[in-house]
Amino acid sequence: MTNTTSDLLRLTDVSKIYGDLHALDHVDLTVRRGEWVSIVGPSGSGKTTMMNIIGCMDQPTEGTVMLDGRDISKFSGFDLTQVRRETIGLIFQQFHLIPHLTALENVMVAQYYHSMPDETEALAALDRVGLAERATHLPSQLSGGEQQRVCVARALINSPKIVLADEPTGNLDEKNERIVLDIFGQLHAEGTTLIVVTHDAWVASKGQREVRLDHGRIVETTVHDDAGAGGDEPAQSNVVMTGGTDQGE
Amino acid sequence: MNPKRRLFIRMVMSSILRRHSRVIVAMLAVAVGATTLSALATISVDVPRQMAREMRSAGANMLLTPAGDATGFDVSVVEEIADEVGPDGLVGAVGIDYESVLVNDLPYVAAGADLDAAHRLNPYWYVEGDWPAGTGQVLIGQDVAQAVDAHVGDSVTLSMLAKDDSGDSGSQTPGTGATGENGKEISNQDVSQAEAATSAETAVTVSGILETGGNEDGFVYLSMEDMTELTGEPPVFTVAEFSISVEGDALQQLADRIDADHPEVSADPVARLAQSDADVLGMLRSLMVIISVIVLALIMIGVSTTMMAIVTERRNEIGLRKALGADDRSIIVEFLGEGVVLGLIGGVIGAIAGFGLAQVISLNVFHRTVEAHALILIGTVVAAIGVSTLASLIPVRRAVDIDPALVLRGE
Ligand SMILES: Nc1ncnc2c1ncn2[C@@H]1O[C@H](COP(=O)(O)OP(=O)(O)OP(=O)(O)O)[C@@H](O)[C@H]1O
Ligand SMILES: [Mg+2]
Repeated sequence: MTNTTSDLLRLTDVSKIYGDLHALDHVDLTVRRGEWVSIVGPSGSGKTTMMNIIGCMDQPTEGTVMLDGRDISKFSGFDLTQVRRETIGLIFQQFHLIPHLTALENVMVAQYYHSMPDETEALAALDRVGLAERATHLPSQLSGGEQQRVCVARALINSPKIVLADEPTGNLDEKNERIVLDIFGQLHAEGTTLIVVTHDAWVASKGQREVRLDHGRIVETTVHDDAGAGGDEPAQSNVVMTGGTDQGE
Repeated sequence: MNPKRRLFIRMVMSSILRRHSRVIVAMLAVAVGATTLSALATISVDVPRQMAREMRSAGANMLLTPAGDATGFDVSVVEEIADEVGPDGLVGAVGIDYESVLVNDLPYVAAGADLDAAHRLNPYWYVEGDWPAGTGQVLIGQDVAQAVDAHVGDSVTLSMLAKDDSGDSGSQTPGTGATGENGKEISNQDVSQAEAATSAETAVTVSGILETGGNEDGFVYLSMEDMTELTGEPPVFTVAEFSISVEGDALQQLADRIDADHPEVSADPVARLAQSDADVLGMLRSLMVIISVIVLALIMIGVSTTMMAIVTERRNEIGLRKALGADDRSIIVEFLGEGVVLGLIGGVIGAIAGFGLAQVISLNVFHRTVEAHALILIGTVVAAIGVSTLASLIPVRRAVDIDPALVLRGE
């Protein structure tokens, strides 16, 4: 589990402190390349805080974050932007599209900051999420589910090493949820590392590993069957307690 | 074009085209400012330029008076001197025969002259009605018109004052005529002292009333033919006015040469009225410059405020762009790009509208048309772009400071 060569991400003793609030409290987490990890936990437990740190949008107060062999916890803002652009695909809790750009242009914006806009590629990405026909629509002309699918297309357009999704299906109906999870399944099959924050037990069960946060600490890690990625039922699981019970308040 | 630049232009344009309400306000601020700027510049460049040109050719800058004790000189002298100066240097010349006359029995000074030449020499004289079209028509000064209660189209009677023996009070030259400060007083004293004994009488029509604010207001202008008929003597000039396109020492040298070549006359340079008017034009121009600077400051504030609102409105978008990998430079370039486009469109609209406004103002206030100046139009657009870019700087700095993590955390 601590094999450095196969680890894409390693958080060591990471804390994020706001005043006297410990949003993250001495967290250790390792994610292997190609792994699909689900993060669960009650509201305010620090899930988004952790995603922001992994996603190079925030820095930990304490501890080290190794991403793809680099310690990003001491990086400057400029370098973090660089790493984020190169390695990470982000899907946010809200749909976050640029309102005055079409679906296609929104996808191309990610290409624009990464390397070179390519309309054909962007269209292919939209096609992959089933939105090729809506390419010229503005976000306001798309349903919530469609908007989130545009975000998914945008997150994977640059073939990131790791996709971070914060409640990607939180606001979606079952049909759209299924479409998004199918794409995650494909990405996983292609070897992309996935970290997905969710409140939904079924969505969480799709991951190979389910990490539960509470009060900024990892209180429980559940390892699902690898086959879980394909099934509809929550897969059989193997619960591992990580010493959070005695320390948890 | 490379696809990156193409998408950049697409992003900037769709931001402007699809978010119209805000952008239109900013563009309007730029356009209104540019309109004012372009109008002011056009007026302050073109109107004084035209006025200066007219003034330069207006009014005499050399006077010819009889030398010694003579009361007049031969009319041919004016033509001779005009030929000597040549068509390039000579703007206008007019010989005038001043005589004391009675206008409807009131004593005044009559000026007999080639009225077309006088008109050419004084194009900016304000005449109510028209300049005389031929013999039998006269131009009377405003003071005369008031005293004898004459209006345009009325008929007045002119008659000669009898000359006394010495002959130097009755037909005495009224000083330096149009430009002499005491000309009017002298002439009025002269005519009032003279006996009101009439010889010949002519009825003439008033074609126009002259108002210059100077001595001319007390004169009656009539054609040389009418004057000869009135005096019953061959034409003679008491004074001649020249407008010559040389100034200063060159003019003095010319006057000295004329003195030497024509002993019967004395030539003297006189100051042009236009000189002091040029100072007024200069002040007018400075005033315009000050107003322009204020207008520029106002556009700056207007655009800056709107840009500030736009940045606040687009916090989420900016945070999102940063999360997608935009560095500070891209954010700055994108927002300044919008500022440039705003300035360009607003500036072009304003430059054209400003020329229209200048035309309207100029026609209504200065009674003349203005020309479009390419330099002013281009300058307006450049200034509009410069100011709206500058006004975007502070908001853009704020945009750069936006923290994506905070923005994306939620509503
Ligand atoms: N910038 C901040 N300043 C102060 N406190 C913050 C800040 N950001 C987050 N917090 C606090 O940190 C804690 C963790 O927040 P976080 O957003 O990570 O929770 P979460 O697990 O994502 O919750 P949710 O499921 O509601 O999205 C919360 O108590 C929150 O109020
Ligand atoms: Mg959250």
